Amino acid sequence: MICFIAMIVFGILGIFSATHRKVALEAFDCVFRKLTLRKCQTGLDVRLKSSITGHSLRKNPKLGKFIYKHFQIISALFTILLFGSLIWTGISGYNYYVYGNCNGPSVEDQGGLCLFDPTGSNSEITECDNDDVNIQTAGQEPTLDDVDLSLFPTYQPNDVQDQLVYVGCYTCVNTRKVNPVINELVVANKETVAFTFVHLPLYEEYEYMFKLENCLYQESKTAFWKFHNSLMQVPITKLENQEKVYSLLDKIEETEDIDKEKIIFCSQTKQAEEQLQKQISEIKKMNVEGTPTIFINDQTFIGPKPLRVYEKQLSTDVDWFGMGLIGLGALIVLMMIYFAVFKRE
Amino acid sequence: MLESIFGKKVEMSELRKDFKILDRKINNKPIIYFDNACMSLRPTQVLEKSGEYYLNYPGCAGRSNHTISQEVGKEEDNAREKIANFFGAKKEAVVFTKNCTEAINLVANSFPFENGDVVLTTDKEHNSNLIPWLRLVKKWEIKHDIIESGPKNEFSMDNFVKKINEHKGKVKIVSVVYTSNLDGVTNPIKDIIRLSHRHGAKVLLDCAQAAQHQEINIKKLGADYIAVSSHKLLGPNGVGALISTKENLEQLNQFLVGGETVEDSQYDDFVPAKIPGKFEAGLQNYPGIMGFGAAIDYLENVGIKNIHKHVVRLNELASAGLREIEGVAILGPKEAEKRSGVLSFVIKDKNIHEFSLLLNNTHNIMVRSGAHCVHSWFSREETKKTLFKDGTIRASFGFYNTEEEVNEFVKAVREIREL
Repeated sequence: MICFIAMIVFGILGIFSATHRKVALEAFDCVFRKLTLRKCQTGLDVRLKSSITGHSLRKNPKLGKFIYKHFQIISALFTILLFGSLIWTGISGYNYYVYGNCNGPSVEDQGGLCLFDPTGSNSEITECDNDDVNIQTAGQEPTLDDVDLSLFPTYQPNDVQDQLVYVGCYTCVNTRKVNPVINELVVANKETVAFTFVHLPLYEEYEYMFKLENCLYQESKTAFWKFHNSLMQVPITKLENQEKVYSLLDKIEETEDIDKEKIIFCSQTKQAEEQLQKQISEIKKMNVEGTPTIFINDQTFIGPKPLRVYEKQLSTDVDWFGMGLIGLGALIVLMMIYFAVFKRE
Repeated sequence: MLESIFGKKVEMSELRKDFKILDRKINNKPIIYFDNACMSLRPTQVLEKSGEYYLNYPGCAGRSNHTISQEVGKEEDNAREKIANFFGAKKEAVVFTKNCTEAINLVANSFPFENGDVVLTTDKEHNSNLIPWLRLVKKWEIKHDIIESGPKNEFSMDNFVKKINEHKGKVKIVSVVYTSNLDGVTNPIKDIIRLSHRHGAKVLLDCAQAAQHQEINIKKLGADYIAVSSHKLLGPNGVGALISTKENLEQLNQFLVGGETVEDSQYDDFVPAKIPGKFEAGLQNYPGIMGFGAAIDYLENVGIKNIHKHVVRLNELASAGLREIEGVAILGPKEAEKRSGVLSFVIKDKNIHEFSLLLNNTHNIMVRSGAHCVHSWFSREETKKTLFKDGTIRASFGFYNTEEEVNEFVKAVREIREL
């Protein structure tokens, strides 16, 4: 049993020290033999037991005696703990690779410590501080159930295989962080991904932007997406000034067939307000705590994740990593069976 | 207290001072070295003599004419003479080798065997006195046979007589261990030699263990070849000797050849050197040889008989102490004097390697565990049915070990047994 622990510990130490490397190889030989139902021949288990027990006996004879008598149980316990923590680490690593967070994709998971992301930046969101949009029910997962996405700006290709709903805010630092990643994902998969942007106005004073976008979207989809990109790229401080936001329409007016004044006027009408309220009531159903929150098919991601995380959710993605792991696992099992059956002593 | 053969009383504490390693402490505890059957400790005098070579005359012997070369040659010659006198041989009949193993290999590979010749060994030989013969069997048409021990695991003259008669004059070499490194038992060498010679066989004695506490005189014994190692005789590593007679050495073909093994050479032939040079290829281990000579001086000062008496006494003490511990089984005869300074034992239900490691880790007691290079004995069916099937723990005593150390050892065994 102790050889399992020795293999891991000395394997790590062996990266830095040649002495430990030799012991690690011995431990590996012992472990491999035991797993293939053969006797360990290196004597490493005996040496380790004697070394640990001897050291304990010198320091504290009673403790040493206890360790000696129950060495098998103690080492079995530590081995189980080691395997448990290795499995847990493996799961964390897998979660981090697939979901961008060691603990998984759910709401509760986002708050836990992740050693691969110690600052928690992958799960950081800006919480909604808008009384009109007070939406998140504690402990409940974000959802798109019964949400009418047709109310929100959507890019829809001919052959839709995946759906991406991007809930963000132009004044949110975390949304800004994930925006280039989402853009890259959408551009790379523009033939197959239906992309919907849901502007979650985190602060009441930015609701006018929502109305402005709706009016622009109704007028020209292309102009809307250009405006959307501009809002994502200009400094957040500029967005605090309404006039500066309106001035972004000037450049779009030059290339697209829109009337800036008409759009502004539209955004100040009662219909625009009604449209906004409809959208807000749909947003409330989503149970979103803050931005960015991204829905890809059935999976929800909270916070700005790396590109690979979103790509993995697309139906066109081939999980080479997963397939590689399975293949390697199968190979190891076959090798072990071969040694257990044909190299039995 | 030891008493030298010259009647001079020698204080043990004085002798221990010559062995600086005994001052060493590990974890603030002194070491207790009980692995003398593997390697003896070296006194300062031996270390200084070896060091003298490098400091004062670090040259080649027998080649150049300059002062340093001559000095080395002289020292080498002196050492050879001391060793020859110690073993009752002539100077030219002492061949320096790397160790006892090489000395045995020299005989095995140089002896003028013919097809069908037989070599006999006991069933308790160190690999160094088994493998060279097995290799001959594989390489040439030589046969190797075993003289089975008696029921008490001691040498059986009856079995020896049966074996030698069975092979009807074909036995050319009887190669036996003088004192076993496994259980310390000494074989009836004189009887073996007498019977072997009667049947026309030469006798090679593996004296690696015996030489440190038995008086070995090749002339008095009548043996043909004696193989020894310096490192078991308080000497440096890397040097041993094959001691023989002029006639026996001249009978041997050359083994390792090269520089110094020839009087002259041409492209198509060479003239071998005289003995012992014809067997000593290349530059020799001069510091080792000089240290070996110094070791012989030291041993003569202490007295071989004194050493034997002392180690037997320690063995008696240790054996008596271990017998009181439950589960301990000692390998070999009950009487410690029949086991010289070797105490091989096992403890029921205890792993021998684990036990010896615990002795080391908790009490700094250094013993050996395992098959002691006598794997063949442990592979026997009879051995596999005994408590000794996995090997033994072997404590082997030297003249610098004390009764206090033995008492500490017995106490440690008891403590670890009770864990």
